Amino acid sequence: MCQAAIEAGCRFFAGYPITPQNEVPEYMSSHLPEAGGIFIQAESELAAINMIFGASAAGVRCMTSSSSPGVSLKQEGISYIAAAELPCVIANMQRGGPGLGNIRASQGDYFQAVKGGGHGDYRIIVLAPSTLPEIYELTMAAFDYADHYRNPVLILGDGILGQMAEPIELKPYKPVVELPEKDYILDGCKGREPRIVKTLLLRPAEALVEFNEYLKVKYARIESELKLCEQYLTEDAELVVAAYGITARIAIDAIDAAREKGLKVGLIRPITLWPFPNEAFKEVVGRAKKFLVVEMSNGQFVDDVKLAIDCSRPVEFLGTGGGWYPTPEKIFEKIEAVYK
Amino acid sequence: MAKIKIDSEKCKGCCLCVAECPRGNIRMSEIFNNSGHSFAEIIDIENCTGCALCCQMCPDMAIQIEDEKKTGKIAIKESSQRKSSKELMKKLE
Amino acid sequence: MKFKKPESLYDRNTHYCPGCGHGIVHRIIGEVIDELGIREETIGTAPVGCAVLLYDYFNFDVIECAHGRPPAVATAMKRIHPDKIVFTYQGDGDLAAIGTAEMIHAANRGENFTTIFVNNAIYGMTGGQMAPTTLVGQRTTTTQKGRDLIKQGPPLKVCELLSSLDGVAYLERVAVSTAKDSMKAKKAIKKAFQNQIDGKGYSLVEVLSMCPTDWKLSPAQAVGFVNDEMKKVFKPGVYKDTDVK
Ligand SMILES: Cc1ncc(C[n+]2csc(CCOP(=O)(O)OP(=O)(O)O)c2C)c(N)n1
Repeated sequence: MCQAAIEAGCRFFAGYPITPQNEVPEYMSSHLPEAGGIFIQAESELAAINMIFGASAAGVRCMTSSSSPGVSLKQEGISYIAAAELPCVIANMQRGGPGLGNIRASQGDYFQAVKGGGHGDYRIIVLAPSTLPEIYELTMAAFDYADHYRNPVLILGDGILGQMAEPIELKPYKPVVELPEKDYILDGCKGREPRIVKTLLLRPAEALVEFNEYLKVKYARIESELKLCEQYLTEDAELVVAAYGITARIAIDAIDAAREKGLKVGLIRPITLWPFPNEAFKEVVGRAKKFLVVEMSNGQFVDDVKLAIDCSRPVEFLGTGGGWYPTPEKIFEKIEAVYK
Repeated sequence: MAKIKIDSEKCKGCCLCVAECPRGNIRMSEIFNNSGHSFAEIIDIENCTGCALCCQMCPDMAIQIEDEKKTGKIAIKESSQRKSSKELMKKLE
Repeated sequence: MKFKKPESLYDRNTHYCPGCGHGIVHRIIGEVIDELGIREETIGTAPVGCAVLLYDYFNFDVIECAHGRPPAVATAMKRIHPDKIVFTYQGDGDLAAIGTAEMIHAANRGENFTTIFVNNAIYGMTGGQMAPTTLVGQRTTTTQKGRDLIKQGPPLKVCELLSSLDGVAYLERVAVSTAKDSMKAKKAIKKAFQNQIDGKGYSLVEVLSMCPTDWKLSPAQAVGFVNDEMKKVFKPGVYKDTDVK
């Protein structure tokens, strides 16, 4: 992830230590300066996200990373960054919660990430990679989406992904979307009118309503343009498993085992959690008799699956929060149990 | 004579300049400006030295002092010279 | 003598209450930036507080920050644009309550930006609640019988607090409650900006300032409060200057 970020031109990183993502700031602290970038170990996640706010307004590609409790602290800042329409990349390697919880992998921050953990009507793009090569690819793309839409992008991983080792092919960076000129950068007003980066909209009285209308249109545009999703053996699937991130990867083994037994099981793995790839679900809903959602939480992502299919099929659930994780065997058992 | 100018529309009537003027040469108007404030006004423009202490205290940048006209300064000097020469003449008489 | 609006300020009426010290501090900053010829190189930060709209008055780039976070934002700005002039403008709630950590750590890292800290001993924007710098005995909407030394503790003295930090280059406490004080404040603020130009590290000027509205005093009485009460607790002077060995 770090190498991809540097490759994609990230030149500013601020973070505060928290397990299980310490490898990120540690790597950045030595490699980013070598690439001519700036690394700051901030005094808190509050400071880190506000450094990102400043760095983004100063015009550089920037990133922060943390894990669940730290990302909670960043929420006010994320709301400001979204309101100021500044690009940035945030990584959350989720751990068990609520509270201090534990440091095992979890997917308990889905609501916070996807429904907006901070205040106000804003949206952030949420990417959920499931392998290291995909982390590499999506991290690069995250900077592009952030710049393209002038919006924060969150990479939602978990403690397993964060600490896993896997061979990856280091591809050179190539933008995946058009990158508009940054005409908002604050760098002194020489030769131009002064610029302001602000989020307070008091006057006229309708200003904030109008800005929210504008955001609505912008978010609708992102929803129509950016939806990433992987489907696995869904063409004839009667039971469709829905999972994201590391859970989806584990589910594939269970699905393969089920297929060997003649069970028609497939997988939908959303890669963008916001925007949510509703269409992929709508597409299979005619064939599928049932859905099974697997997630490492008490049930958050499952709500969006139900919404995507308008509750038109039964949706079974396998998941628990707090560091519980599924094995292929556990998922296979559940598949067998719900498959009729 | 200094060219002091008070912008009555900028003034919010806080009176901080009044207290600051070493010559007690600023007072508050009996009428109100468009924002509803009684505003600062110079009592005797001839009596203003242009020390700008009032400007130092004005939170609203309502007071400006323009460059002293060189002629003004010379004129003062001339008059004082004339006066003193008159006095000299008197003394001589 | 000549006295007119600096170029770094727009010719606009401010939203500040009559007798509020923010306007004086704005004027001084504008003059200093003009005199140093750095308007086009300057990036200011606006705090959450009464001065949140300062970008409506200053004629240079400004970023409005979350409450208490200007030092973090300025840290990033200055690191990315080391050749630009970055300053934070913060109230006592912003700097000494919700943003204490950011302020102390930016100072301790010796970040090369300038902080103008406007201490009016109260939360102005939210209607006059107790600030960390509220004086013992001072009435506010949340200390209606006056700040109690036992219950709320004594006022936080920022210059004294920061003076022990090695990263800090310059600390001075001034006031804008008399013309003479304002002139001194200007000298201090100019030095704080000059330090940044010279790459000396973190400089902070604390400005004791009036808030007649929330103090429920007339502007003239508010000036008296600064001169007679605040200066007793918050003693004006230079608290640190690495130039003086
Ligand atoms: C996170 C957060 N908490 C609280 C507020 C509300 N708030 C706005 S201004 C302010 C106090 C500002 O006081 P100060 O920094 O002393 O500045 P002044 O208004 O006195 O100039 C507070 C508490 C906020 N905007 N954001």
